[in-house]
Amino acid sequence: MKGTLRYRMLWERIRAGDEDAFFDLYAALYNELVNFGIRTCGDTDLSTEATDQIFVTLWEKRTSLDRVDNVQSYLITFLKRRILRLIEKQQKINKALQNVKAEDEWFEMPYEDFIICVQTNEIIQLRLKEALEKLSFRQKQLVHLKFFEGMTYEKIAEQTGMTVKTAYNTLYDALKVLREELKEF
Amino acid sequence: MRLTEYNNIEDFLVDNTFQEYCSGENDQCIAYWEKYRIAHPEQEETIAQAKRLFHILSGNKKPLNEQLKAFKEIMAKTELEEVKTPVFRLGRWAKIAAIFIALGGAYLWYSREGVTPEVVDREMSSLVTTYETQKGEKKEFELSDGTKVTLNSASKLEVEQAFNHDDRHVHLVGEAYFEVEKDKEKPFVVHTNDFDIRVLGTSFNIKSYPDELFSEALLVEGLIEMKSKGVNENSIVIKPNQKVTLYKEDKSLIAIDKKLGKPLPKVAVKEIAIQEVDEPTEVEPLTDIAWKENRLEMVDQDFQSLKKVLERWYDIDITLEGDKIQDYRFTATFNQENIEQVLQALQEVKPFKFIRDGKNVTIYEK
Repeated sequence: MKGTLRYRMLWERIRAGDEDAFFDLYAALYNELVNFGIRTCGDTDLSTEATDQIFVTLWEKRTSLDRVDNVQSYLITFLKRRILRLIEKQQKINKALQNVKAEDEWFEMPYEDFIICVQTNEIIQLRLKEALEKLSFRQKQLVHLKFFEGMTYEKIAEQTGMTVKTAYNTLYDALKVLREELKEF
Repeated sequence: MRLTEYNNIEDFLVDNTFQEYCSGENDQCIAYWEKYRIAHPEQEETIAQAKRLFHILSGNKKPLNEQLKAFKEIMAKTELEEVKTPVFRLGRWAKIAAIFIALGGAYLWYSREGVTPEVVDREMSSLVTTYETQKGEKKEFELSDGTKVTLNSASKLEVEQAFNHDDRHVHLVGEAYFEVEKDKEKPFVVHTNDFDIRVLGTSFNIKSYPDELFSEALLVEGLIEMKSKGVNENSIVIKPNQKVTLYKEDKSLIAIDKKLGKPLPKVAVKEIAIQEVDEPTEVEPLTDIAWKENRLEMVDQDFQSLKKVLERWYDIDITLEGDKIQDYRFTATFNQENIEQVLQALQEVKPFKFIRDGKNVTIYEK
């Protein structure tokens, strides 16, 4: 809840034209927004562009913004529309979005799918796929939560029911496997 | 948990301070590990590999500190060099459909006496490329800088030969939709008889027919600056989904507040109106550029102004007979219908009769 309140305060300052608050909000929500795009489209460049664009528009329209209860969901909705618009423009057909019908039906891929999708290098794609297949469910989960979602060990322990020490060791083992498969990169 | 020794990739990557260094989220971590790297050149290879693996596993996102820096540069570019503070504050008007401003009680923009609408009042080099459309015609083309133009019926665009040398100037009579190629070094300026528009890589629609009471500019994307012509140089900055309407005649106009549906008091001075147009949804694009998609749209338009649109769209001449008929108002969308079908459809809404004789159509009261 603390995050929500902080974002609301930043939002109000942005409405008043505070540029520092604007960049603070960008830094605070950037990963969350781009990650959403990645989980649904499997395209990091598209996600990044869409996210940057909505922030630019946000600043341009700052004087006509309404008060918002939940800044994150507002921005996610905004992001979804922009992603769709970009995809139309680029005419990219994306496997995840073939399933999208309405705004609330966005399908999120599992980590092992989208993390391969975003790779532009085919060899990395292949190696990564092979590496992930060698990992246990827990190991994959740790890699996802730590490196993609950026969670702390404490948060991960809370969410998965492991101890911090187990989380740490599980990640370590996963990294050994990954390192072996991808060491040329 | 901090290892005292870092030997291999997983030793680095399992450390959360190293993770925050890679993700660019924590300045202290960044500073610490940059220093460490310099102090341990023998581990440079391992550290670089660890960073790359992090990059892959995090979804190929740029580190946040780099991303923020790049974004600040983007923001600096999209803001205009000189932002003229508008006389009004747009924030207050977000809810109001149309605002009419009388500035200073005097004419904001006035056309010079004795100048016929066709005269181009700018020095253009003698070599000019002209794009023209007849009534009922539409043309799409690209300028030498990559800007895409869609020219509506009965319109003319003149592009001088020096276009895209130091700047990009064109002259428009009529209506056109522009998708301007971004080029910060060479401002793109559209001249019409009533105003000049300076743009910075945007998509917008301009309407300036000499025989019409209004000239309009609607901005879809980006930012544009509108400058008046004449003794008083004034300029306005327009943002996306705003439409500026310039009333050319200095006769009394009856202005209608679209939202309230009742006439505003008559005003005698020339005015400009800035409208917040509804953000288009995927299903309902903007009315003003519907013509670009071959749709004929009218939103609460009276027959008098509709007549001109229909004349241009179908290349016909319309005579409206009767006083009541001029004030009939219609809201409709047409797509591929011919003029008779359009008129028949309109008859369902308001009673009138019409006779067609080739290119001439007469509309009269029942």
